[in-house]
Amino acid sequence: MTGLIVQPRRASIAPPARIARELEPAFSPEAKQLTRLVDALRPSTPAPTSFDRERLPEKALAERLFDALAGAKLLTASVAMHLDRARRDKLFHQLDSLHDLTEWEDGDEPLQRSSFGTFLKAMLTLNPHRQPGLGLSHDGHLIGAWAIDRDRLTIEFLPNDWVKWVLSRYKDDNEARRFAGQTPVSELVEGLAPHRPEHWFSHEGRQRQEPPR
Amino acid sequence: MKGGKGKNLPDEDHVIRYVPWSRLLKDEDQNVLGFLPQAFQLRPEEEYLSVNWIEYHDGDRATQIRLSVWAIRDSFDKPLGQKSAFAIGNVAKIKTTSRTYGSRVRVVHEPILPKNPGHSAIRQLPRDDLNLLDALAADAFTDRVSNSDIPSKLTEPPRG
Repeated sequence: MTGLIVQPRRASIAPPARIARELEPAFSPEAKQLTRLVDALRPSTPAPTSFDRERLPEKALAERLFDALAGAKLLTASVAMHLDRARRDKLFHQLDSLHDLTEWEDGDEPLQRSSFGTFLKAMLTLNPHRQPGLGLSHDGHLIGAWAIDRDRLTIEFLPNDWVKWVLSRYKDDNEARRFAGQTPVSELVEGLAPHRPEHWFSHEGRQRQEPPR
Repeated sequence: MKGGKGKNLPDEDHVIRYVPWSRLLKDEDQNVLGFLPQAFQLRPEEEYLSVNWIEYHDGDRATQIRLSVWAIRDSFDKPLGQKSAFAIGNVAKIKTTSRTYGSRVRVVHEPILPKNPGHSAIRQLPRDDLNLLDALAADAFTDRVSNSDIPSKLTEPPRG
């Protein structure tokens, strides 16, 4: 069984990530403040797709990777009061690892700053007890993933406060139920709610997780 | 030469695909758990998903995999990352998984001579169907080999 939930795409310009008035009760004060902080760091730009890339000046690859990491760390610093030291250190370690020159895939784009802004907003909104493993798409979009046994939740953080997600849960018949969606980050909690995301976000799930192969 | 350009691979055979570190499914402590859906996503300029036909090579399973990995390494301009991996899937399972999500993919031999004669292609794969990409990552490509576990040609003991 599968499901596909795609919110209608907005016109050519995506609005800033203001939280809709009716959804405000669902967001923590920290998430609201983060929205204001990140919005202040970038202009409004067109609504994204998975293949959108920021226009980057031609530079040597090593320099581009360094710049992308520096940009992400600066953006993190602007919301550092909402992240404890251990969480921030782990995040930076993950980002460094993704931009390791010896592991770099030719033709890939480094992390897009606007994708990372979406990621920060999502993390402060979801506030998961278990942090995601991170990956990077061809186009420099950060990917967050949670796995419990065979059940997975994967979120691609698109530029300009949009997210694309897919989740799979296996039932007793050994068949996966899959659902996918694309929403503004401000509607992510609402989009995931029917699928009980605490399954992935809580530490209870981790205790049941298979050891890595 | 086995197969032939454009011929369908046998259903019982297997293909192997290179997956960079950035597209491996990991936990927050960087333990590798599998593959992200994006490991099977076509780039905008790609017409098909590149794979290698494992049974193109003779020998036992370990030899077939090793020869496939060597051919894949030879087709890249630089060394593959030590933390990268290879995903292995059965041809029939790839096709049935894709059909479940409404796509009739073909898995065909597309040799690249002389370096990679076992190169093959998964054609007619939708570009952006996340449900399908997730199913390929979780249900079709079920085996994983770490790049670091395959020796380089230089360290391989002579055969015979």
